[in-house]
Amino acid sequence: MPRASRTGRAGHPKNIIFLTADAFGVMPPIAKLTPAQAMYHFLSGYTAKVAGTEKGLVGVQPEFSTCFAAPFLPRPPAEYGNLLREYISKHKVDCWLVNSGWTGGIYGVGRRMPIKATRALVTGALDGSLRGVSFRTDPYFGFAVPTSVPGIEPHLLYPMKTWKDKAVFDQTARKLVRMFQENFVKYEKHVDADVRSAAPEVRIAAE
Amino acid sequence: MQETGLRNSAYGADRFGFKDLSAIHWNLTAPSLYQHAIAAGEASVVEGGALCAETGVHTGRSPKDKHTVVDALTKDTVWWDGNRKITPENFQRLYDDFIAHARGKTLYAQDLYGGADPNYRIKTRVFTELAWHSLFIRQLLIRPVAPELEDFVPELTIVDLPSFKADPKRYGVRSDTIIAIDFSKKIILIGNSSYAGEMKKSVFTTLNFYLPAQGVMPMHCSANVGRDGDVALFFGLSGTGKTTLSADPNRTLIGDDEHGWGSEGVFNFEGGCYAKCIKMSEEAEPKSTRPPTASARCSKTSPSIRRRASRTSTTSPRPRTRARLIRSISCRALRAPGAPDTRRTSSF
Repeated sequence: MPRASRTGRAGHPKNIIFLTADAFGVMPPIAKLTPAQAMYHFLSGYTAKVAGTEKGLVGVQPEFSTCFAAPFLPRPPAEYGNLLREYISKHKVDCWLVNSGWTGGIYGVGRRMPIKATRALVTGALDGSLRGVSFRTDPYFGFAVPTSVPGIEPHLLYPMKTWKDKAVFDQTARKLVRMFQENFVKYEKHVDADVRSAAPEVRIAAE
Repeated sequence: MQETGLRNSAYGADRFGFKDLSAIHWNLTAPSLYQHAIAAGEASVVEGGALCAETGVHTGRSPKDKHTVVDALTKDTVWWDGNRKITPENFQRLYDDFIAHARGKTLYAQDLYGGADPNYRIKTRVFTELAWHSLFIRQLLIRPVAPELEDFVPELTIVDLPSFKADPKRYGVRSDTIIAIDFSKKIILIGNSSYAGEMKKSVFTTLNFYLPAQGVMPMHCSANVGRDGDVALFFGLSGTGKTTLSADPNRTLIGDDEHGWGSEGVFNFEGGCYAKCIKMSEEAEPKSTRPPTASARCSKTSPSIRRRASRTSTTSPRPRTRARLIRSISCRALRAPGAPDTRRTSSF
């Protein structure tokens, strides 16, 4: 392995990326998170998995794993969350959410997020080039999404545009937002108000 | 009792309480462990040189069978909504039964570090019934240099006996599979599972308990560093791309699964990489089965293994229960500084 660290040690992080394989296909390929949103998504630990059924049909199920590590946490989640928050704030770390899962439709309808796009966007986040692009606020999740990035198909950055049926997109995105909210109820008592208010909240009227 | 291998003779298996073992092999290197595993019929070598072992019914961890001792230390510090309890009395009974079960057996022992930062690492001794489990944990954790083995005194001890079946009533546990953790005694007992990942994640769980008290943030993430020293962390559940995206030809991989973040920066908990091969296919994990970089290949598989894995998953009439210990030579570049380099002597 030619590019592996010999020491297993390095300095303080400059960027943190939360990866999700959103099989609902509604999350953008990348989003910039505020520190409060980062806490929210760290505690949520979201991805979606594809579950086969006995009839051979395929269902998409959300998976929320606290701190992306639920089975391995002896201590209360907020302890890890608060510790991470301190480090993020102390070292002014930029936090991102990356959807390496699906786009253009739910699993089975849409397509897998192109790996080239994911790699290019991660590279842009890490080398600082995404800092120079303009962002919009995602109407479902509230985080900042680049409006255009050189070399990335423009539609990819607007998940709704990748779906044929916009109404189905809207329903699916609302459903996922509700799943986030329901999952987070158990943490609400343990986190600061700004983290609670970083919850996804649909900011557009229902069609 | 027959004993082989480099060890601290002043701190042997008796210090843990083992009695009447038939043999114990200490800190064997990869080539020796290959020989033991093959001689015992545990595993076989497949094309490309990897050792292939059957794990039986357990093709993953058994999180519901993990039980933590509730005592003065853990009563108010452990998150009991997310962790199952075992009483100190039941843990003691389980420990006694593990010692009794090990009588007359041959065990393998590895003395290793969990954590690359000397300030925060935990000295871990792992006793296993299977040679391939010994190889697994030796590849995964960080190996001390030989002189450090001679006076190695463990802080954490893991005993891994896949042939031990727990009587749930006797210990107040859920099933005949058991992962029991005593944070006070720093002992972890694993019974009735051949899934080797239990050992690795037991060390992770232990660090997740102890490190926050020292101001260190333990994290389930991969990490890499750019040419100008900028570090990136990648959190994500299984299948989201932790390994794939941290393996970047323009950046140096620190590790692909578990790290700590302390006052000096980040450090890997491990020295190797690990990936499950069961049902690995282009469709399920398109990114990780693509061969994008040399480094990604390390933790995943050689093309020959990959073919076998996907064939297994698509043509088998019933779920197959194979897990493979991937031991590609390139993988061992992820070892502790100064750790013995076995590359020349261990190629198959």
